Amino acid sequence: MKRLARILPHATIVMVGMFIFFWVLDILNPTMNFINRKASNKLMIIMLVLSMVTAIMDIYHERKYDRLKNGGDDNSDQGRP
Amino acid sequence: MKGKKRMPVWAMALNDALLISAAVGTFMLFDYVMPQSSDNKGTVVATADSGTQNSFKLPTAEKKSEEKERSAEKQADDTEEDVSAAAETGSSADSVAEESEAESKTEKKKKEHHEHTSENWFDNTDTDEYEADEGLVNTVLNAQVYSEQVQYYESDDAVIDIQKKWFGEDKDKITYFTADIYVTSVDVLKTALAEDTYGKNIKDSIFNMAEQHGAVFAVNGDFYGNSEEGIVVRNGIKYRDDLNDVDICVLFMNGEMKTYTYEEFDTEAVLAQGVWQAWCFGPMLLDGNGGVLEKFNTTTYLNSANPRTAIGYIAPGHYKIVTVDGRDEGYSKGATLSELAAIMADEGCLSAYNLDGGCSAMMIYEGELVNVPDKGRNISDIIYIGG
Repeated sequence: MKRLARILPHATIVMVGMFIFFWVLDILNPTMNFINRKASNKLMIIMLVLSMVTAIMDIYHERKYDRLKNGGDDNSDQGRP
Repeated sequence: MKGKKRMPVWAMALNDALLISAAVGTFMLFDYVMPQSSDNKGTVVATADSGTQNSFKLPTAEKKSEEKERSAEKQADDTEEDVSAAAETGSSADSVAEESEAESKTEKKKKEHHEHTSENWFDNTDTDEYEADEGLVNTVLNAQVYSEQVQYYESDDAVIDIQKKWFGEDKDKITYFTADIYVTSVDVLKTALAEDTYGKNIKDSIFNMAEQHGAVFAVNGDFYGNSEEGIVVRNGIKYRDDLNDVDICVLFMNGEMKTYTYEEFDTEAVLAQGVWQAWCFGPMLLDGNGGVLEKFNTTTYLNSANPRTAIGYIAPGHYKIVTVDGRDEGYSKGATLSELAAIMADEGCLSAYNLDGGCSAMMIYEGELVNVPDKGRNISDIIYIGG
């Protein structure tokens, strides 16, 4: 789990980096259709899933950290803005 | 307890950057390089039959018939030697008057054509196009164009006159090759797919494809194999008919060639009219009446000066294929889309369509290169005559 938690953000960065690259290429040469290709759509689904899992894990770890910091009281962050 | 040593941030960033490069490279290799043949054998949408054969006259046939008429008239004149001198004078005066009338008509037509190209541009504002450069268009239309004949081909079903043309000086010089093509029927203007197979990334050299099909003359096509969408009809066989956001060029069985924006293209209606060829690359360059479009469906990057290939329509059975050389300062800088459109308008085309360019822009005659391509490359398809 820890290993997965370490790899996931990097995998997300790689996927996002790829799409930024495709986006730039698509602006330059839309005829090549870098973003809307079938393979790109599959990659986009992978990127979305990775982003979602990374975000969920980040929220989970943040809440766990807060809980540990406040001596295990789940409601200790109720007064947060 | 001593914690595990972490990777420095710069090394982590570098690692991710390398991973991004590797992932992009793998994707490109898979999606843009590796050939992926398809089982799609296509659907026949039009066939060349006896009804379409010899639909159009070749200029040589017209000339020959004119010569026959002239010789017949001459013979008739010889047998009627007693015709009065006064009557002969009257007849020659009539012919002079006819000639001057024809000349004035031609001049009027040319004037109208230039007025159309420079002023009454077609308004095409609904798509995300790049505006035509009026200055460049006028420069080309008013340029002193030099030309020399490179090749001339004549057969029973086609006449091809290939000319080398150039204008401008030094770094502004543009050199291009025009193929003035007359065919007796539209099926003489053929296309061929690399390895005779429809699919993605299937490529071959223009020489191999031309040789395999016995082509006398060939140019690159639209490189359909680089995209997954866009209509593809070749020699009356439809391989796909979904649309992407590029303009479309259609050569109909009746010899007409029309260009469409993707918004106005009605696939069913167009296919019902009998489509011999359909290309999806673009953009379209002229408005169908010989006027340069005000805007092109393209981007600034694609609009830059490059080697180009374009196909133009003058009349049923009469087409013009132009290959512009480029990326060689002093010989030819290449053409922007505005310049290419102006060249096609100047060549007398009513509609014209940009095909694949850059390294793909190649024109060959009897297996030999006519133009000077920028490196050249393997392509998906060709347009050819012969075989």
